[in-house]
Amino acid sequence: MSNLSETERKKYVRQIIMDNIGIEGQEKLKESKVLVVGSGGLGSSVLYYLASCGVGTLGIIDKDIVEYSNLNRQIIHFEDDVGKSKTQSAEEKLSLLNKNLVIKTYQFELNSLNAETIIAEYDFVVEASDNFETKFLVNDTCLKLGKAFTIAGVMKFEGQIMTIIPNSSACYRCVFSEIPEPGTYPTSCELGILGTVAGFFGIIEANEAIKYILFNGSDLINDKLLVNKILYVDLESNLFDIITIQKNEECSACSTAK
Amino acid sequence: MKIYVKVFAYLRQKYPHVNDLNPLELDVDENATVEDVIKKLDFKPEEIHLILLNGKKVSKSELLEDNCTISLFPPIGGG
Repeated sequence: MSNLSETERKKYVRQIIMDNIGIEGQEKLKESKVLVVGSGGLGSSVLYYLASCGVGTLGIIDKDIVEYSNLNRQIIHFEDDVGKSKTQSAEEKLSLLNKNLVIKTYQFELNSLNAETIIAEYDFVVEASDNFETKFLVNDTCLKLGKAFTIAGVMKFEGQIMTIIPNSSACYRCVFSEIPEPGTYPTSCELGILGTVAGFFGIIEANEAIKYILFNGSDLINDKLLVNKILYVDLESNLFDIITIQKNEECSACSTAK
Repeated sequence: MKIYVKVFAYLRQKYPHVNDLNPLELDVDENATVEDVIKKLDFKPEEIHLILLNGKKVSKSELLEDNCTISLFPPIGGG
């Protein structure tokens, strides 16, 4: 007996008729729990697409308040939301978008004290924060817990994304080693970020999450996802690169993971 | 020997005409390392977060080979 209601079958019919999704895939999406770390430029499109495709439970963690300077790219937040917490603002939009969606919000920062407890509740994590400290924390915690995740970074017209399946793939630390020293690199506050670029990479992140839920356990999962690969895109010149990467046998995060 | 260098993201502010399709052509000494190239291009080592030599991740101490292509990426952490 399917756990999908008649309304859900109508809402998701264009996915259900896909031969590699079907009722079974749609049920997997409904049963899945995805944590989205950050509801900013990346997180906005991640949240919209995961909510609308029928993921059953979404966790949203963000400590920030909506500001006017967010609105060029953080499309889940509206002008009237300025001053409101981003988690509340996002929850309000998503609950209108999908009445079946279970939303859990965390209006504080993900840190080394709470990361394991929060991430342990989810099947997949989308790292969509705006800082390296959180990206490395998500990487290290997900490896420790054996949780798959995707991680992106954007700046101006460009960005990069990779997906990590613990034990079988290179991790963020295999490639980038250590958190860069603050002050040695410009932030998006200094150099800027275009909304379409953040949205593009957010959509790729959401797509990775959806494919993980649908195809986890398949022999082809590493080929279908950005596993052992970095997608690097320059949207100013429309240059798309897939960079093959390898697990670093001396990586401090991989070697301590279970 | 001759090598090719691609720089990405805001590293291109110093070399605006260099991109994936148009690498910078450089003459370097035999035994030159990636770090020598980073200095030659007037970047600080800490500005470079990822180095690829012919598409494979390497460290700054990696020796270069004739006609190789180095790709230099800065940290990109915005969201």
